[in-house]
Amino acid sequence: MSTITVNGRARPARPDLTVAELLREDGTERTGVAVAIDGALVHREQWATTVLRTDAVVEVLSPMQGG
Amino acid sequence: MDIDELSLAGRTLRSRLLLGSGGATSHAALREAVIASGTQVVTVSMRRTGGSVGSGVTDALADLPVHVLPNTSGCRTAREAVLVAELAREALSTDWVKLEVVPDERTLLPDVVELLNAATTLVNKGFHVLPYTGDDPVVARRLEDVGCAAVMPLGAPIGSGLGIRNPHAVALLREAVTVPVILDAGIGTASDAALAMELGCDAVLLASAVTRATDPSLMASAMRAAVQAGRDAARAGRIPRRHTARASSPLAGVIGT
Repeated sequence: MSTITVNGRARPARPDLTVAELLREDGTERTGVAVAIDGALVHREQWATTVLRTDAVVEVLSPMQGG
Repeated sequence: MDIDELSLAGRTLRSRLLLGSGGATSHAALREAVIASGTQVVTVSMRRTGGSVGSGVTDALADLPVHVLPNTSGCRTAREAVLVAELAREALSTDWVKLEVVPDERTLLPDVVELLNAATTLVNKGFHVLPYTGDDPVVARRLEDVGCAAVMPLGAPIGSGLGIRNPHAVALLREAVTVPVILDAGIGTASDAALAMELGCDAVLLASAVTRATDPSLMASAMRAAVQAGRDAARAGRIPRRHTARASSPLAGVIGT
């Protein structure tokens, strides 16, 4: 197992875990969600093929009330 | 009546009132306020998933005739703001972004150096950038020069409800740029919104003044009327201010002459 950080929290992850699998496991895979890894946007079309390296810093954001 | 529409970032809007969704106590209250305001643009923020507060806002607005305008609230640097704008574009399928770069929690004033850098980057990435800025006409012109679709000066600190503290600066800013000017932040009540429009602003963006009012729906209705009244007054051409009185009744034919 490697360790990744998702929305500020450390989390164990399989070495071959993809973005799509992460969102499915965390229940956050839905429309209106966007993902960045290490400060760079990862387009939705790339989620299934993007593997999360160890120490990856993942941000999962969605629209909320505000402004 | 002629048609008085606002052309903003490639869209044509009939309403000159933009509504922030922050501070609404529920989605139902937000919907009522949006409908009462007549707005066609509602802002949302981008936040980490997992918290439940305020999530699902786009679903709550989905059947209303409004454009969703994501902001970059919470971003303290240009780098953060650019990333959040890109995440918002991905999440909401919109090229519009209300750009906020705010490092100081006490005043919530923008960092205009970071703001200008972020605006430049985002314009180059194809965004329609609507930057939240101070009431400095020189900064506003710089933002226009780098390609911003509008400038959004504050009237007073965000959430303060202090109204327009420096109307003269807002008027000078209005004269300094050709892109739309949207008075953003500081509005407390209807007369503040009317004043913004009388000063020549093209639109008003407000949130707390409505969402945190005792009766948000009624205040939304008041803001709608105030923005329209201020706009009409600005176009109508007010009388000049005079030092002394000038009778409106005829001077001829008064008794005792």
